[in-house]
Amino acid sequence: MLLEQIIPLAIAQDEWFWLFGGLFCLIPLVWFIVGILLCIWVYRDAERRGMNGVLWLIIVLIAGIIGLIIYLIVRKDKGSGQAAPPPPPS
Amino acid sequence: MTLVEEIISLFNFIGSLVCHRRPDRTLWIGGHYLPVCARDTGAFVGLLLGYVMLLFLRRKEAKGPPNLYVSLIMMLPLWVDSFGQLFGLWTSTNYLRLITGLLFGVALAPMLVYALSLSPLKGRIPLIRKIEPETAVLDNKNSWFDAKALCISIALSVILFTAIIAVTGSEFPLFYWTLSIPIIAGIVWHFFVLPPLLLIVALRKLFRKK
Repeated sequence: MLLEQIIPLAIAQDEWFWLFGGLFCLIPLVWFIVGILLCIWVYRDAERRGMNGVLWLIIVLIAGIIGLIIYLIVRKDKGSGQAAPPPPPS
Repeated sequence: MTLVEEIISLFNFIGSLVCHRRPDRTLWIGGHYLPVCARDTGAFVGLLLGYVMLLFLRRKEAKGPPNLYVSLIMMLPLWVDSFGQLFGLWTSTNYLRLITGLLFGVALAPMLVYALSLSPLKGRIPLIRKIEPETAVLDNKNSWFDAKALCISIALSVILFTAIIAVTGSEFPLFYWTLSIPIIAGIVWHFFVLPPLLLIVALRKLFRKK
């Protein structure tokens, strides 16, 4: 429905549509995949560091690259989120 | 339609694919509206400025990401300004949109190149290959594009901002071409060349493994 409205409008507006229209369809798809991969990485990295993975996934989803930078600044160092090793046997 | 009008029509069409191009939010320079709105003008010009800065100011031996604190300071104004306007807290101006876009674009360029070099596609994308760090490690605190380089970028952004607002409203066509050609180059590279290249490189890697 939406496509039917957009495509004839674009053709009517400009004859350049067919030159770039097909290629343009790829772009949101590629950036969408990149965004999803980034969110998966943030979730897994946060969980590995003992942080709340879901919370950081939501923050990065909402704030995009700014959320990612904030995550990189505040994330814990590797190992600090893991449980303390058991005491040596006495 | 003359050739010049044809080219301007093409530029406007390419701009309309990635931007709303609202006349009240688009700068009028050299007798024409620019291909994209004031914020996007700032972002695309800023991105190109960021790449130029990378050529001269990156620390080739460093592995860590661009300085995160300064990057955040440069990117936050665009986010705050956009969301403030979206939620009706205030109405932005074209000058505010332009400077926030410029700062965002300049800080985004090193982040983007660094992020690409972290991916498995490292070293496979033409042009990017020339400026990305040799090895990129996210946990390394040794900034590849440090605070000093980013501060120089802020200063250059302000100079560029002053130059753009000085020519806004002028009827001299040279100013239109000086700004619109880099903007269109930025759109074509980031939206039409880079994503398909990423896709092709990723698919080639996938099929080679099999």
